[in-house]
Amino acid sequence: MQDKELDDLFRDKLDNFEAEPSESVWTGVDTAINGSSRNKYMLPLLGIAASIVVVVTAGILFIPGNNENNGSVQPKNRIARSGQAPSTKAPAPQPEIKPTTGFEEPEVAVVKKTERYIKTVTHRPAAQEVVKKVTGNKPLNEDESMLATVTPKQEQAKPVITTIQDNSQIVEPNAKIDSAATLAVTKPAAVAKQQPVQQPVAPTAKRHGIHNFGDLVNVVMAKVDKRKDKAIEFSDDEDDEATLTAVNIGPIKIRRLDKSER
Amino acid sequence: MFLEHKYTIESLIEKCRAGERKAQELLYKQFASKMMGVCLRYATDRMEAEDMLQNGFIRVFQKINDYRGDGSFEGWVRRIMVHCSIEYYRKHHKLLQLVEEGDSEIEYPVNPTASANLNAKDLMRLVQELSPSYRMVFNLYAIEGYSHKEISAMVGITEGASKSQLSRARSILKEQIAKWEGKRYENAG
Repeated sequence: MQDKELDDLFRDKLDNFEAEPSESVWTGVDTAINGSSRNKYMLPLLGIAASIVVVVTAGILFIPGNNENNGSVQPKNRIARSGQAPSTKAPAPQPEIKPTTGFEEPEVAVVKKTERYIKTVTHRPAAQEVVKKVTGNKPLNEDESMLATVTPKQEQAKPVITTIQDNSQIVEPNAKIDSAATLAVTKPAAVAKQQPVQQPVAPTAKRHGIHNFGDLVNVVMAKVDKRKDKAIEFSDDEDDEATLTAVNIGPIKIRRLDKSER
Repeated sequence: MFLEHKYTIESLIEKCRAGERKAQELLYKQFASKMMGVCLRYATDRMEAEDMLQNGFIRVFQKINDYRGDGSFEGWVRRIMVHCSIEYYRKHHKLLQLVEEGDSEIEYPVNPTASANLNAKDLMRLVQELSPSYRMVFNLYAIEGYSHKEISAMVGITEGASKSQLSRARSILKEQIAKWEGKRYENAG
């Protein structure tokens, strides 16, 4: 056989030879050719998916914060239920009363939460110092003046105050807590004048138990008379004897200035 | 055929240039079997042929803007397949650069009428059994019609090496055909 004959033989038989390739060949070609264009479609989808993940994650992270805020709001509802004036703006007594009303844990928790989120936290240490000093039976003049200045600023602490008022009724502390707090709240313009009235309140909050006849009357009045100005109030200063400080019988309202304010 | 009724090769080419995936698939299906036949001649087995075919079609779609319409599109695709086959062997096989010394041609008597009975699959098997370098040169020269000069440039061997390898490939093929005919004669007798 000549070379040309051999070449012709193979060319004739193989030049138009056909065979079906497997499907995987087109898959490989398609992936190589259109893979980049698929990525173009996938990239925006990936971006959307990523932003959804970010939003969901952020939402999950902030949900506990919202819950805590809700927790701090709940006491406000209690204000309405307790029937007290909703515009209580005298949070200053809050730290003072806190020790006496501290047994009820929910309120304590509320106080802590509000501390987290309210700027007035910075005022709190000062107020707590006041508490300590008061419990130590020291003169109240400086502390009270601090309270007077702090009181109007701490609006966010309302819930604590109201709950404290509730507690004062439950725990039977001195009834002057209510009167002092509400006075400072309802008549903020007259803070300066009312300061003398408030001053006995701070020691009242600090003092535990009934030490004299005046305390007994105050406790009874706190139970009976829900008004901010009780029918009769006695001084709750431990240094004093049971001294009549205020009388509120209908149109007759008498309130005696504390000696420190005189 | 569905493709012939609805699309022409030119319209498919235009759509492929626009990056339409469906047109690419139709064009692939139009030429896949023919080009698989080409790749099988350059391959040792079917798996290698499919690798070459895949690389060849990837190149076709990547370079389709280079097709000017001067010759037939099938010829252009075929040339790409041949070049991809050469590249494949450059990567996977070391082509013989030198002809073995003492190589002498032995003339095997092959009956032309008997060899006509060899079918395409048998001949394909004979080609695939050649060594890669012999198979490459034989394919390029005997079937594709390239000259030794073109082969030397394409494959990267000297013209002398191309001629020697072609001669050696032919000798082996004649020998294999003679053996095949002998077995066939024995079986018939």
